[in-house]
Amino acid sequence: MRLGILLLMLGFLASCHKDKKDDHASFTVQVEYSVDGMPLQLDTVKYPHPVGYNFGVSSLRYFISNLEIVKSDGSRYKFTDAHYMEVGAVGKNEFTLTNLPVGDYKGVYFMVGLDSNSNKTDGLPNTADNINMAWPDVMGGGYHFMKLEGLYQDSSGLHGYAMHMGKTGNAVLVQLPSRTFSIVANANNKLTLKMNIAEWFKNPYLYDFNKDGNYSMGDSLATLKLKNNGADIFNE
Amino acid sequence: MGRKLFYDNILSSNGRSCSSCHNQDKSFIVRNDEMGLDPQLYENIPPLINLAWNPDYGWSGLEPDLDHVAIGDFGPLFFNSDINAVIQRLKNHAEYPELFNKAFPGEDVFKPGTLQEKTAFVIAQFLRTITVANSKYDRFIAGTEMLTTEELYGHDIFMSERGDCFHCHGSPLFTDNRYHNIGLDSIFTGHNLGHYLATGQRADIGMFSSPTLRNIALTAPYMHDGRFNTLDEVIEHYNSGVKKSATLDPIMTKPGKETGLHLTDFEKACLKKFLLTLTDTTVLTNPAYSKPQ
Repeated sequence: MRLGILLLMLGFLASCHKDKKDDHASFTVQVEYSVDGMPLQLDTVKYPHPVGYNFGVSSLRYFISNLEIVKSDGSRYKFTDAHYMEVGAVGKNEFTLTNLPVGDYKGVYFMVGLDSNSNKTDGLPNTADNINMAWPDVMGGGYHFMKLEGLYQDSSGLHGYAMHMGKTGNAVLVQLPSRTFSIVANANNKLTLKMNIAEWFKNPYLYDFNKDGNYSMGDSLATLKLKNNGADIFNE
Repeated sequence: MGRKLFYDNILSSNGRSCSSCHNQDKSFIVRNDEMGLDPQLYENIPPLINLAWNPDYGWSGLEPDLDHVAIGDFGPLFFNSDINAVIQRLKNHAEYPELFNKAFPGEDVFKPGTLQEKTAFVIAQFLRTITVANSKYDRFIAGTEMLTTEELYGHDIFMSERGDCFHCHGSPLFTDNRYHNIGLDSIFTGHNLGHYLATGQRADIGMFSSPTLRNIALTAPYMHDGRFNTLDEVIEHYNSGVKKSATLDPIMTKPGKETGLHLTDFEKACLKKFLLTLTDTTVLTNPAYSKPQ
């Protein structure tokens, strides 16, 4: 009798444990890059810039932070961690979150950049990548939110550009309220975000390296233009 | 054991040890012109400090892996080792057989090929222990020592857009361990092709690894080919000597600074004073990096 009760309890516990395991799963966010529909190939100068000349990308490094996803039942899950991303670097264009409730989701929100909690000297773990993004203390401290660098070619020849963004308040707020995806138990769940690099230079502001600056770091107006343009770089 | 071997000429057939060329009192650099090697063909060896943080090695990144770098030193130009004779000497040594056995238990290291590989590995392990973080600048950051007004001004030039040095030589390593074309030339041939020689990518032509600026006052000459003998010459390059090419780093093309920073004489002097604060002399005499007694 007691053995029977014990077996029953074990069976009950086992099924509870099984349910708990199937309730949550891991979920990987990965980013792919293009320039107005053309897949991004680094170190070329072949993409039409919205202003008209050709440009290319030699380096793009940035942080994604404060990811928030919305379940179809309205519940929201936010992750404040900052993730360093680097185009062309193996394994550095994705990050994985664990223990997320399975189900259907509609809505993805995040920052390209950092919030005020992280954007201070030593605010992030001292990895080589984070250190190389440091924004000097004499300029306010914290980190670069984004470094987008490359070359462009206009009638006067080949030139370089370096779009560096930083300073608390300049993080790009990306809102994808209609983005749907599912998290399924025991599966490799992936959400692919697609960045159109050309959008950094248009919509709403047509950013011309020759007029607006080929170097944005200390230029608050250039930074503001990039920040506003950045809102729709992940729109599909 | 790596440290012991570093200072021991038992590895060579010409009386040399690693320390014959890599002198601790010079932060372990090698000036190839002093070794009878043409710096146009053989790159000078930068200081062997803080190497544990490097993702790869050499000005052009031709050495992907510190554990194997020293294998080349057994060759004719450096140790000219008769490997079989070296193996015999090591086997007959009072201490090395036991030391090798402790490091590689159960492995037969005393055969050609394996001996060089294992030796290079233990020497790399020693090199990884050489860290430099006790300069005046470090004490300033720790709050235990103040920079002079001019050093501070130089610091601000270094760490702001006035100088933009921090983008490639940021604290605390004073290198980003990446590759850049800083406008030394506009045409690239031979070993001036730089990182291209390691990757085969045209976009890497003329790019070289940012060296650490720690102990820079002690490690002349400068640049991959030693073309500058003084820090004044280096600063003047960034100030007025930048040459354009297709792979010039975008950081070097700021509006108004396409040919250089155009600092005043006073600013250049302050910048140099700041660079001098990156000197840590303790590494030059630290017994942890010296010949074992």
